[in-house]
Amino acid sequence: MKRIHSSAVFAVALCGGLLASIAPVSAAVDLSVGIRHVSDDGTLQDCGSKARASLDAFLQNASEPTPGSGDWSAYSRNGPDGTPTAAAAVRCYALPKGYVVTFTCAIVSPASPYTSDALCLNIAHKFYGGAITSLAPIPTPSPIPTGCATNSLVGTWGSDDKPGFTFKMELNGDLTDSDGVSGNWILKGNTAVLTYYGEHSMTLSADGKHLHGGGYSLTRKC
Amino acid sequence: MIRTWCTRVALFGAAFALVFGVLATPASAALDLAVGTKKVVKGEAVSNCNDKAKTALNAVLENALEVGGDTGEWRASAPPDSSGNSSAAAAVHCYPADTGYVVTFTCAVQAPPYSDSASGLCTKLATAFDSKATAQR
Repeated sequence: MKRIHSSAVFAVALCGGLLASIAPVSAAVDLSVGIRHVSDDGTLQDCGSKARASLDAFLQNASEPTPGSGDWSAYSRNGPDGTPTAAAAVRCYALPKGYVVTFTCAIVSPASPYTSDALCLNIAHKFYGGAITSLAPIPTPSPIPTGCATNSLVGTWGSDDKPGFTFKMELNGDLTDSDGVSGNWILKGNTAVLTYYGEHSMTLSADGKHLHGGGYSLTRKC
Repeated sequence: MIRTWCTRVALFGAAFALVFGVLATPASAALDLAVGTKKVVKGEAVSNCNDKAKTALNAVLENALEVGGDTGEWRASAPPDSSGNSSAAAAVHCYPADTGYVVTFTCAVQAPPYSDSASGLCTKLATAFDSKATAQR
């Protein structure tokens, strides 16, 4: 009986210790707010063009979810967990003369190698001029996802509707089709957004093998 | 003796199954950013926008703060977890326009652990902002 108790205590201690050592580090969302710029001239379209260029300088795939709204957003490349570690929104509003634009940035700490303030300052300075600082590169996912990983779209995907047509999706969020046309991908949970001849919202199946939606149906080779 | 060994093996097996079962669970937390509603309110002072922004942010999140003083740019976060980290935050921007103001809602969450999407959070904020507006009339 005593031996059984010893075994039980040891097993529980071992289990607890290992669980404690592998427990995921709590992540924090860090939001940067407060940079606003007023331009006495220029149109909403001018603001939108600058917003897109400024976002794409530090993030990728800047888009205007509602065309003509003047609201632009973009995400970073994928970080260690296989998902973006940073994002930003640049929002333009037309004034009787010129426009006002706000910059809001978010990062996940500790996965992001830079702060939301540093990101927002760079985007704002790119927009209206100012010193640009170097942002540390985003670490690559570790371990690198392989096979039909559910936290990444990395791999080769075949079109279910067009035999022989494939997409190669890279770790950094790039994608290239078998004709050499490139685009990008982002995965948030089981929702994937492919930027490829427009933006397509798709759903990743629970087994990580199928992508459906947005006019496409793909199967991963894994 | 044999029974004891069997028990030990069973216990160790259960422990390792639990540990590596947890290890095998895929991490699916993702940063989600939403560009929420943009509203133009006419006939109201921007100070009303500030009041509503603070109230709405405190109703949905906590510790609403106007960044840099009298800027009309408000921020708040979700209650922190046991490690002191918050998994959601939002910004409300007020700016004078026409005879009133323009207000925008921008939200960011990491889900999980946050239970709602960034878009859902922004919708709640906009609703809370409007509720305050209705209550004031």
